[in-house]
Amino acid sequence: MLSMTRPVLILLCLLVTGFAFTGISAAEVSVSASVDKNEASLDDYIVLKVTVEGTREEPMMPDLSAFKFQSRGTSSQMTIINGSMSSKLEYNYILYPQKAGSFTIGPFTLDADGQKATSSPISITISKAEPQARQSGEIFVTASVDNENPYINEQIVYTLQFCRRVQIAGASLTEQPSFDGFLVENLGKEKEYSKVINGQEYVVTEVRQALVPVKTGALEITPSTLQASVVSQRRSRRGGNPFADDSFFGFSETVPKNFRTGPISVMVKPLPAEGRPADFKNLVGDFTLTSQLGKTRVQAGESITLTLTVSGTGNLKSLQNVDMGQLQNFKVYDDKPVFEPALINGKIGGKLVIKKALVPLVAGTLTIPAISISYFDPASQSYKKAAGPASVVQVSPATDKEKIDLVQAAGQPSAAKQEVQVLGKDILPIRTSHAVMSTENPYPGFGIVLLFALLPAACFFAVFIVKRARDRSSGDPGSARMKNAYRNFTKNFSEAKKALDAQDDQFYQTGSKALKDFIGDRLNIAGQALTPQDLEGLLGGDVSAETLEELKSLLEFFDSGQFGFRKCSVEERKAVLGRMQKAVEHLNRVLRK
Amino acid sequence: MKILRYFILFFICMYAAAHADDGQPDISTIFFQANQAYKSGDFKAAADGYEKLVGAGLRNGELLYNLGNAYLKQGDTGRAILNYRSAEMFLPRDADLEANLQYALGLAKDKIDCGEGGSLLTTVCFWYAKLSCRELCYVFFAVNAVFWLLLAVKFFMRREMLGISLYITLFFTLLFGASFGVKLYNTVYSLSGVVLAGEVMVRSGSSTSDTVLFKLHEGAELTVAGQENEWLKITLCDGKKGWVQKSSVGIAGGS
Repeated sequence: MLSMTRPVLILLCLLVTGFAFTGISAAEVSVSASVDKNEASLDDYIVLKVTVEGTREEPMMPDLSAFKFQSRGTSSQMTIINGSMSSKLEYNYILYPQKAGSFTIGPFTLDADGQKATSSPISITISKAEPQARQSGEIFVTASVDNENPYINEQIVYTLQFCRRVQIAGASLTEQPSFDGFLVENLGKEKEYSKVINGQEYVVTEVRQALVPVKTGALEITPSTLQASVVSQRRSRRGGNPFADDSFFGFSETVPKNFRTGPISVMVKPLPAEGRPADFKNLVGDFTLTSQLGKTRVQAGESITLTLTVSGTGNLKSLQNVDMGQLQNFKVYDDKPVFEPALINGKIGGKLVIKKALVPLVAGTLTIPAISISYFDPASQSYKKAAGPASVVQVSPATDKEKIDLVQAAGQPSAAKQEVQVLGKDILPIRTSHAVMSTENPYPGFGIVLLFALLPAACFFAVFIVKRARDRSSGDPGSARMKNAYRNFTKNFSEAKKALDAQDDQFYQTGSKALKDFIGDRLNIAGQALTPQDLEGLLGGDVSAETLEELKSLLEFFDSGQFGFRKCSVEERKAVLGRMQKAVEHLNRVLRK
Repeated sequence: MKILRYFILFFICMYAAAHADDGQPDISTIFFQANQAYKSGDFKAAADGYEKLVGAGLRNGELLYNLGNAYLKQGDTGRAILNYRSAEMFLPRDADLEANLQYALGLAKDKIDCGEGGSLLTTVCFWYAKLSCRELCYVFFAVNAVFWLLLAVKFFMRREMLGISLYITLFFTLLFGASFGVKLYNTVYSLSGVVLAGEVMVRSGSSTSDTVLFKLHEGAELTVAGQENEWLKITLCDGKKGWVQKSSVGIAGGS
């Protein structure tokens, strides 16, 4: 017991001593900041460590607008030296430089219970990243366009490649490039493949976007920044560890790194004025046009559908319609064009379907001339035409029912609907049916309401009471037996009456049964075994001596007749039955009371 | 109901036949003459004829509707609205009646802002306005009978589903019972009235010497909150209160 208590006492003493000194140590509050390097490039990152001693208060963060920063957690340390305890809390941050230049971090200030502490400021110099360095090493990011000198509205492709030959835990674009002066379309999802660069195999993740310059002159695509968590191995103390590469077993760690592309300058040329067709509508790319007529034989006034399909690569989306010029002998109704974008040979393009309803106004052989569109082909640096074939329509005269409304032809296909105009107001007419000559009460009479409201409830309660009574009687056979005693007697008595003329045994048996069953039922006992002597004990206190004697006499009469050889006439039997009826009625009355 | 109606009609006709020699025209004749007068544009004669029928004990939605029409055609907006409101007790879903009532209400001079309270109540308890007092009573009887029947069935057959049905039926029994009770109270002790006079002074008390609080005009609808001799204490749906002379106001269902 003593051996157990001694260490506990020592521990308690130590704790008390420790807490006593904690108060002294807590009074010394300080804050300090340090960085892992004072010079870095835009591709680099800086580890900032802020150490707070003597308190657990968080220091005030100074202006860090030149950096993006990310918390890397805290670590705390507690030391007891010669009984003096001190606590230290370290806040770790990763700083990602956002611009080049000289900056000052800090000072960090701390205010703990009125005690103030300030750290020394730290000077940092950020230099621009060297472009040569980007495409070397184990990991880098590049951005490029396939044509740095395109025509206006000519499609170029911007490619961002993330190349690496080390393991990464994750990557994200923290700075998106700006495409001012371009229309941008994504060219599918990012793809990943292997590529050999300078004799080394790299894993490349590539994102491609189609850019269409919408203004001439020098345009700049700003840099983009990618942040990746690079997995680096810790040095293992023991060689030959098979799990050295596995972060699961804790032998590797991730280091966040920034990778930045350079800006890209694009010089956009205007389209040549020379040879520009009059119907040119800024369509740049490579296109074909087809035309198809729904039917070639129609009646005048009947509609034909002309389908024009323009397909190819380029800024097809900007084409709204194909001008057919002045088409003689036809009314033309335009439908809404339908554009279906598609990726053709790695470029944005698609198919524009324009439908026109043509209504021939005259009969005869009518010609729809070849329809064409002009576009600029950057590959050949010249203007070109895409044209469909001319079509011929055989138009037969219209029937009388389908005369062409030439006046309406110039306007809209259908007139706009009008609001219904209210020209006057009046009330609706009187009723003249004989129903008017009836009398109704707007509400039912009180008696009827009461009757119909309570009748279902009354019916329910009646059913309830009957059922309960039945349940009770079926649950208590004794009381039911007593209740039905006289009824049973009446039945048995009538049987005895019927046996007046019968054989002696039968009369005595039925008579005995009637009397004994009644007494047995009324007293809820087995009646058939009753003897005259039993009656004294059962009914002695309840009935008069006279009635008791009468009942005993009747029982003896029936018993002697049943088991002896007593014979009596019908008249005697009747008299006995009369006596029995009187005695039973009297007994029933007495016992009921 | 139809049989009862024809039965009553038969007795009315018998009564009319029995009194044909009184020198007074029978009710069929009055009805026919009133209809003719209405069609010929003699709306006063039509209204008088319909009033005679009402005075003879006839009372139904159609007759009150006709009477409302006759008054409205005469320009008596107050009596028209009053009779339409009375007819509504019998014909709560009659589209013609509703249209004519709205037309008449549009002619009333006073604009009384009743807010959204009334419309919210009629939206939630939509059956209250859509069913007459009698119809509500029949629905209540039916639901009540179903409830007690289910209770009796449950008494003999203990089934779980019956319990749920029983609670649902009980809910509807209470709902329609309460609706019917409120409707019956409002019908029997009719509390809604209409101003019949051209202009009525609403005073602070039941005396002509009391201060005039505001004026109401023909066709303005009000609720009667109390009575003192020949004065009615009234409330408007916007909350205004006061006293008006009984003779200047008609009570819906009370004519």
